[in-house]
Amino acid sequence: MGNGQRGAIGDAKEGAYTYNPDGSITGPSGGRLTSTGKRDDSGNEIYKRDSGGYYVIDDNGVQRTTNSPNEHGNTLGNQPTEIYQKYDAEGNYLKTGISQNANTRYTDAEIDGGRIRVIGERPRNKAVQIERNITERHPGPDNKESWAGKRDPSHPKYDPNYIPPHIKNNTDD
Amino acid sequence: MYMIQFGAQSGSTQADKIIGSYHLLLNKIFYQKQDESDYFKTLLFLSIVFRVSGKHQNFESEGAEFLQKSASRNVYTIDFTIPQERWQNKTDVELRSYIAEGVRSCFDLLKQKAIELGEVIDEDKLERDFEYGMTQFMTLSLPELKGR
Repeated sequence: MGNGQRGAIGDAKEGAYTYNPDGSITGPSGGRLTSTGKRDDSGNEIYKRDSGGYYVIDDNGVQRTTNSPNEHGNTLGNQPTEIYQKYDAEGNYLKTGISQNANTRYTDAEIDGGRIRVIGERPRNKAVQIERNITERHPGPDNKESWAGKRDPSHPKYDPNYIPPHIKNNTDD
Repeated sequence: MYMIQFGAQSGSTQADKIIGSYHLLLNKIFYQKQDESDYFKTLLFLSIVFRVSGKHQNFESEGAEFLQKSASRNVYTIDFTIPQERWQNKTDVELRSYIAEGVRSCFDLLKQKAIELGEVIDEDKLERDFEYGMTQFMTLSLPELKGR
């Protein structure tokens, strides 16, 4: 419960959120939220809305969409995730990527005469951030993400006005 | 020659830096791509994949293992698994000898499989060219790895 105050979350107006006897919460617009019992990286409690989707409530009492805290392949949970870099048979850098299949052996066709090196292992949510940071600054030709090269002055997609999401999100609040 | 393709999966940056140069040299010698094979009737080439254990990934075995037909290519492939203690703090001479021995073991198993399948065009030429390639591997200087 935000700030430990019954009836208020963060700096939201007193009474904006109503705590129900069954443990759920009714929001300012009448929507019902149920706590998942899990928290995001910033320590905010993650709620599930009856109408679908997951939210955290920030210090201003504003609901912000977040990913499901339930761990499966496509969510940003704590599953161990490898960060790897791939090179071709001539030693040219191709890409940085992540893989949740830790400790698997890439097939000979996937490697195709090149090299794959695991450069680290992190919880998936951290691995995604690291991969993105590397891809923004040092993309390979096989990094096709929309943000690849945005912070690399020698890259055709370099954008001097680009603000990485982790900085942008912090300035939004 | 167009005989063996070498791949490598390394469990750490350090493992990749150490083994990467040998991997590059082996491909320079044994994997000069061309349209048709001089050695096999229908197989494209043989494949050896180094699995090098390191800080982030441990393959938990050693030597030649998992000889199999590649799932998506007309290629037979085998893993050469290298534990961390085999590459860490070793000299070039020690590493070359160790890798050469492992490559020979892998090649022998692959060659045997190709013979069983009736794929080898000329067994003597295959053996002779392999030995020539291994001599080069033991004597040529190591190429530098590109980038970081």
